[in-house]
Amino acid sequence: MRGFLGFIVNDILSQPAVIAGLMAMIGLIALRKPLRTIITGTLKTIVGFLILGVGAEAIVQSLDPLGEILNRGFGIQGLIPNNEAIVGVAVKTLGQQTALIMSLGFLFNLLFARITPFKYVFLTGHHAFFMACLLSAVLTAADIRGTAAVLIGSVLLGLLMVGIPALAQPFMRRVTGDDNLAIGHFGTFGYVSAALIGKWFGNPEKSTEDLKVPQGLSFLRDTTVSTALTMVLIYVIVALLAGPGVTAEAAGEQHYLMFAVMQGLMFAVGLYVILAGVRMMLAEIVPAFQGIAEKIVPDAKPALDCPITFNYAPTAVIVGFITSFAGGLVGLAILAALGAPLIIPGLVPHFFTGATAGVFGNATGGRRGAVLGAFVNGLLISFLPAMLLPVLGDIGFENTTFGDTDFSVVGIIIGYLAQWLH
Amino acid sequence: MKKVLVVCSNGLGSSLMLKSNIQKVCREKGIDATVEHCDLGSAPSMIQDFDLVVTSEGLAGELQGFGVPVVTVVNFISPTEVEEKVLKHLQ
Repeated sequence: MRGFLGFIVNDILSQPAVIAGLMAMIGLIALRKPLRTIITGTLKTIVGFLILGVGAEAIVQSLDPLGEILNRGFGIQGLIPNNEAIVGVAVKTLGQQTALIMSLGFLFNLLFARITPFKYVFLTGHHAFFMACLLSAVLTAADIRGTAAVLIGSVLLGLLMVGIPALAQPFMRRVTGDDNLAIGHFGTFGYVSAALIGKWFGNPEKSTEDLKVPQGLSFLRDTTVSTALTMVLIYVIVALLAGPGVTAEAAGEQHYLMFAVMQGLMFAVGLYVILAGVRMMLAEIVPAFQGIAEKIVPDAKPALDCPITFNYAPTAVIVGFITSFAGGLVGLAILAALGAPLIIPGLVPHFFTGATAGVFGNATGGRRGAVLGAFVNGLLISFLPAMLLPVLGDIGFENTTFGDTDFSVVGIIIGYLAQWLH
Repeated sequence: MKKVLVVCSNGLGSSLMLKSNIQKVCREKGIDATVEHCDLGSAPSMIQDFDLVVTSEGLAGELQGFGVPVVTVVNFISPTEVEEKVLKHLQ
């Protein structure tokens, strides 16, 4: 396309940061915010998106040596599932498509909520963003691109944004005792599995909340701290097992264990920056979406981030986290035995999804439900990402992938369906 | 004018929702308050600028001892809970 229109389409709209900014601007204008709010909101959204890119560079730099060491030392592929990291990697090549799918996905959410009985508004902005990225990646890997990819991706995203909360709702009602709150989080496959396991094998009479568990672990809720701890540990263990010889090729002049520690810390640095970017980007978009949703679908239920469930069963949170992590370790051992790509258990995904699985499992099946349900969640977030890898395409080569179950389930279904239809 | 800080783990999911809930209730009741949100990691460096911290039970322990009152909320989108627990600190 040529001329001024060409400039708009090819040069301006090809910048994903600008697309995100436009989304915020349209939302703020629709809500009749004052001009200064429209300007600052739009600018902050664009800047937030660009900050994300900076964090992504740091994370890729920290992960590359890990991949090299695992490959040269053991001949295996190891991945650290982390949503922010994989999305950071992906926006370099898929940013434009992701931003468009997310923008249109919000519109389809409102449309489907309005015309179907599934009255949910998906307000967990970062998960909508991640799913848009997953859809973009899997469609691109299946050789579906351009307008077709954006259309298919955004319709699917809209469907997921009403469908996933609807799937969880029968159990969410049991958790909160209230039908007005829904969960909008793409780990729902794991949570529903936990709830079903609780229902089939558990005893709802014996709740986790009757147990006394030490509460001193709340400092792990600081994502920077828990990520730094985990990644340093993982890096040091891998370096120790691989030995100074193999590690030295990546470490150069630096002592190999010190190198491992610093690389682990660099991951936390990159993650912090990515999170700061996502936070800034969503600070305007989500409230704008919420405001518009209130006008278009006034009777809709807000579908929110998973920690809203933690308040209803705080002990199940801890039980769920620990048993999910145990499931992750067992899953890792099984993957190693099968010679499959290794999905290294991370504190953060096992905390958030394990805790939620624990809460769901406890709601239907008490402490047995929480323990078994969260353990199964831990297994799922080990196996599913390994199964997603073949259909994830080029972005899967940076030693990281999506963490929560639904990203893998959706990716696997679409990826293999697209292959089969071709 | 009172300043409220809403804190959640990552500063982008739950805290954003609770922030807009509190803002709405304040608007309806005619209370003059500014509401900000942040993640647990950033909270200690910002907390002294605020009159009230609102968060969930699991994080409250990390936010004590800064000389700013901490209120915990169970249902992040319930206006009634905000009215009951938060408003009295803003009068």
